[in-house]
Amino acid sequence: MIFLALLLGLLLFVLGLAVVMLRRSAILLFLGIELMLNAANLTFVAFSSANGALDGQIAVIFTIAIASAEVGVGLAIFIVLFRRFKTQSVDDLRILRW
Amino acid sequence: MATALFFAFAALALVFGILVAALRHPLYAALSLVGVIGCLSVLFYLLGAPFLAMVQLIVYAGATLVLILFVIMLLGLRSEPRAPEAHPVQKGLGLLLCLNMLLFFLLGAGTLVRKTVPMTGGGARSGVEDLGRLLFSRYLLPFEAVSLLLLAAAVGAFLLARREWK
Repeated sequence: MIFLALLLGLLLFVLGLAVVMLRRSAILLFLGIELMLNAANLTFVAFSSANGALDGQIAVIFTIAIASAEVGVGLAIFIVLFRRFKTQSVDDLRILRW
Repeated sequence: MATALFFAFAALALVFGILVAALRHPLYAALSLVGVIGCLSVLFYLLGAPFLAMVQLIVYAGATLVLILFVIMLLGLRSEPRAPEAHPVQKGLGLLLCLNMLLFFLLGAGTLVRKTVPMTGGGARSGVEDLGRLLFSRYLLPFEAVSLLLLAAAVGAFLLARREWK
């Protein structure tokens, strides 16, 4: 069961990474990051269950809290950018580049 | 029984994960992510973390994903007509990185994990009480730091997304 959980965590992480690498829409990048965070959480819980120690579960609580903070600020930035540039593609947002 | 349930929800989570990666419409992808999170909640419960299962449902699906869905609907996002695609080189390198990561963890880290971690499973089921004691004793300082971070994020998000941003 634990090995299966670790395998699922790996597959979900790679799927999230593929979304971040291949998609150009900022909101889809968010979803990819969330998918990767969830895969990491699953791995934490699986290792915690294997070791019989609770520290992994504590780490998951912190991950969830930090993920919600990240989503809040990130979406605020995304709303500002979308209102100003009328695009959701990260390739069109190049004013920070030279 | 538990193992069969675990297999079923793991497969379902994988299907939803593939949907997140495959769908182009932000709304559908976000709804698939809600499915992934629901399945992972069941898996957390089966792995002996009932408290995290509920936190996953309430905080992640109930707050974080609803926030994302809210923004998608607020801005009326659709899959853009000229589907924004990555540059071919970028795409190839990205796929290469993903494949690399998959193989690395599957072969390299996988054998290491198999050697060091007991794969017997069935670890002690954790009560909320033990979790709370640990959180408020050994992890008190990170807990306070995270509360400060959440406060800063709330203020920052409010300042950024105001309508009259001058």
